[in-house]
Amino acid sequence: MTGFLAVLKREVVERRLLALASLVGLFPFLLPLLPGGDRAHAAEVRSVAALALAAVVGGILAFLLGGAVIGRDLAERRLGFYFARPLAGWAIWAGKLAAAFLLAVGAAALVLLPTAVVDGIGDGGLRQAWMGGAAAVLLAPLALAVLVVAADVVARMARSRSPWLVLDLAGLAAFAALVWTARRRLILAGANDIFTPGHQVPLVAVELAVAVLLPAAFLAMVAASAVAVIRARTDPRRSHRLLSITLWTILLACAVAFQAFSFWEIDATPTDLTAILETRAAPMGSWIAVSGPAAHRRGYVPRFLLDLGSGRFVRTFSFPPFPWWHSPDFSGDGRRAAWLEPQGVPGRSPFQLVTADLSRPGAPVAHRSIVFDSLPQTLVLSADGSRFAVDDRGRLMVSDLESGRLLASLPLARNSWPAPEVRFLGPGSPGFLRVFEIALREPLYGPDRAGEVAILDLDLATGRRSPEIHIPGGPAFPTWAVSPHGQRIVLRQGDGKDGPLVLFDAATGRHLADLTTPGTPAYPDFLADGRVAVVSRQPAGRDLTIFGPDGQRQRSFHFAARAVVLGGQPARDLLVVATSTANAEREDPAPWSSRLLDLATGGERALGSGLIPAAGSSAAPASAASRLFHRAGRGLVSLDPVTGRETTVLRTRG
Amino acid sequence: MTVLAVEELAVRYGDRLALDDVSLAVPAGAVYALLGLNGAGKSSLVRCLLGEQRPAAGRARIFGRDPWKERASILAEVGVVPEEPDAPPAMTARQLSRFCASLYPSWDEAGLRERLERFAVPQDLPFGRLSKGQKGQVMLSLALAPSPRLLVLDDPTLGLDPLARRSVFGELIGELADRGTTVFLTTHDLAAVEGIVDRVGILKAGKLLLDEELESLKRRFRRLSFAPAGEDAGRTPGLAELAPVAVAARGWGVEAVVSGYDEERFSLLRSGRGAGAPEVTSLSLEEIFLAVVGRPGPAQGESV
Amino acid sequence: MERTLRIDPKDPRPIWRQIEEGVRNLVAARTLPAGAAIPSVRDLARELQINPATVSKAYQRLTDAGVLAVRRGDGTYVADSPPELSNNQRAARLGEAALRYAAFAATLGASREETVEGLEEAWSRLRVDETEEPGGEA
Repeated sequence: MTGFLAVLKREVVERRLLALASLVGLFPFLLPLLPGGDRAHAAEVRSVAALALAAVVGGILAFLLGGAVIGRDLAERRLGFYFARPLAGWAIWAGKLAAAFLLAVGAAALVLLPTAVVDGIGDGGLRQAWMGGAAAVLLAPLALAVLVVAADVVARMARSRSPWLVLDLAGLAAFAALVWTARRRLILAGANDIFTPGHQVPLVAVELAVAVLLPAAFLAMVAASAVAVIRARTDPRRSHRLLSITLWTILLACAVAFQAFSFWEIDATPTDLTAILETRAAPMGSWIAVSGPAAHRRGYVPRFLLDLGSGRFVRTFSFPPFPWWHSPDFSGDGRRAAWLEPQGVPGRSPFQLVTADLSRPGAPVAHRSIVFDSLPQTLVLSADGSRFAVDDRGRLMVSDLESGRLLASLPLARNSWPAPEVRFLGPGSPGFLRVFEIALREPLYGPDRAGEVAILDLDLATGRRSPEIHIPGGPAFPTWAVSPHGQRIVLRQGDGKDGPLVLFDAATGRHLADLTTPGTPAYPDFLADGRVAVVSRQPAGRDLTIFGPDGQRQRSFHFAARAVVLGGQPARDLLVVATSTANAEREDPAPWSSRLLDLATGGERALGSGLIPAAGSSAAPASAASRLFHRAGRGLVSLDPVTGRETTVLRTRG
Repeated sequence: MTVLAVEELAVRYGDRLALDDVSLAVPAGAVYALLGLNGAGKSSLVRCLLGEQRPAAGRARIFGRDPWKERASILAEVGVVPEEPDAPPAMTARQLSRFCASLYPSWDEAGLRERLERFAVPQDLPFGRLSKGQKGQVMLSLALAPSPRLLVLDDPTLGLDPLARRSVFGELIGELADRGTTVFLTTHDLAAVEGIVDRVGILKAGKLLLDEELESLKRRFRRLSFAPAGEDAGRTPGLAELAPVAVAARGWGVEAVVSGYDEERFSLLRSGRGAGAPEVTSLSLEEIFLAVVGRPGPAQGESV
Repeated sequence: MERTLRIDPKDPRPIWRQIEEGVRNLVAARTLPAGAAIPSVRDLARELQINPATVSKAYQRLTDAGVLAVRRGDGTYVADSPPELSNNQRAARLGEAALRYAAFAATLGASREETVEGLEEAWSRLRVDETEEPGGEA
């Protein structure tokens, strides 16, 4: 310790003239007095100037001193003086670098001193120019320390004039390449929120630098600098050799670890999911799309296509930071799935159509040559998967999937929100596309908001459009639902946001029925067999009213609950429903309990609590998806409502 | 007790072997001079002794300990004067003394000042502004002030004028007289150290050709001059027993430097009549050195 | 004393012997009279630029032989009376030195006359006093 202090004291005393840096601290007082100076806000001007000058002075000194304190002595063969004394190697190294650091920090503090004395450190003084928080105050000396060590390492490399410099450049290139490719791998996979999940704007470069690169580089430089001085002692070439070997070994090891991490991070499988945020079932067959956070992989929300039968899975793209956007769309026959993947960095590169052939073993994935510059909001496959509809740059385009050939297109209305619903009308190919567009009239916001639905059929063979049918909607727009095959539509009409729901025929626009419910109608949904279900609100709970395909009221169920979620139809007249007494989120099954409704008899049977149907009402009747539930604490389960037998399909990690 | 020793020391720089299987020992109180031409390996050996370099093979020992591992604690009792004065140029002698004082268990500040005054070295002038001789005096004074058990001097009189040289050795001798310090030095100034050293080692191309007491060396080395009877002077009968190191023809006859001289063998030569009118003269250390290193090189296993 | 005591590196004799014999010569020539102070080991070593141990060894031999005497705390001095040797011892010592001189002269190819001349010259150079040593002979 004595040796360290002796070296430190000696190095500092030798350079005591740097105290003259404090003179720079008087400059902020001159600034407001100069022509063009702002006298009114003199204190603020002084604070900003003082902080800026302190940063510059500290930075320059840290760089110059760091580069000279060991480097120059080593190059001029003066380190031998220290090594010929009873001084430990670490004391020489640490004493010199600590001196450089203290001098830089001290000089910066001296520059701040006059302003601090006059204006104070509080909000009336320096604080107002400081953009960081209290914690950031510690970062400033840390940055100077990093600068000192970095300057030392670089100076020693440069001064030694040895061929090891080639290794350094190669090491730097390799390190940069490894880090960059690993980062890119993460970004391309949509895992770029791994450090701070929930950030609206992915800050990968900054996060990486702060969380990984800087600490690793700093520690590597400290270690390399120390090892080179302590082991190589007075020989500049040997010092450079040890410096380079130590530095690059550590840094490249970190970079390789980061590479391995990047591979591991995106290598999540469905069994790694800790929760299932989203499930969507193919209308037919045993494939579903699932996504959720993966164990130990913060901020990465992978999405998969999973075959319930075989357990085989395909990775699709999960768009950060909103992983539930753009889940894959299934064709009506369940044989094909399609989704969009960015060709490069998401948001800054075109999106490419990707399909998976679910009918073939291994579900081969094909990257189509169909590319969009901006991310479409709509992507819908036809029932046989041969055609697809997509909105691109204000136009709705329908194309042949295999060839990419445009079949037909039509411009979308200016105020079109939300995205249009489309239904491929079959059978026959290419057939027709029925487009349901909501056009809002001015004013767009406020209680007088009004709109209408425009329905038209697009002939995919000729590209001709049928005349539009307009159905006005109420001011509380939009609450609507379109039947699975596009034949009927339910709209809210009337005044206020609690207006009645009305059923229309989509082909003609003819009014079919008013869907009256006990209580205030909340939202409609079409069941897979064509019936309409409406959830309505009452002070005492919720009601579910079932209407026939023609709008005839069939049955009503009452639940003492705050929230209702519809499931599928495991059998023709059965309907799964989940209720919760709290205003619960769907992602967490715990507050939900499920029951089976008999639509024929009006009976109910409880299925269990901590249970919520996974696939929703779109699941085909009696399909595997209609028996899919989320069970709290277990994961995705298949529950046969008739036999009550439950099998775990996908266990979520604890 | 052996203060300083190297055993089978080898030092490598890349492919080049700077020191090859060198062994020597210096007992307490002795003055040892390591001689050699430039590039013979002296500096490498000194670096190993001072823990500045790690040997490729073999061991260096000071006070029985490994100077690479225990450098700082060993150097508390060792005074080092390097070939080039390397004290920080901005520090004055006074500051240097204060800096070093905190590092050693004992420090004779007064003695150092007295020494510097005696040689008119200004104590408040930055080291970089001193003359070469003054710098040398400061380095020597710094090395002597902690009353070390061992002094290691790497060519301490390099570049000094004769007066400065005398003063350096004078201080050294004073130290020897007062405290019996062990001294290990390398030098090219053979004439000056001739009186002072007890033991001499000669390095050539990394190998230690000899390691011997100076007295014994001077006893067995002689220069012979004679007129050879036969054509091949090198084969003069009786000469081989005297272990000739170099045989050179001169205008008047032959001069041979021999390394195995004694009276008996010489009288054999004289009586053998192969050499006419043989005369014998002694050699100075410098002449011995030149004869030893001037040879093309000893044959494998051969010693001089 | 230093002015007349010189070390010759080319002299085959070891340095300590050169010092020893040099001191003996000076004492014999009365350049160093009885009781005179001798420079300390340290000072002589510094002046001659030789190892003090060497000087020490020479002084020790001279002290043992009675040529020098050490006065504790006071330093080294020439002995008050030169060493007493028996006639036999003295003759033996003289004979040894004479043989060395004779052999050396023979090597140089000097004649007997030249050899004796050289001896006489050296003797007179020492400026041995006319007054006789006790038991000595002019």
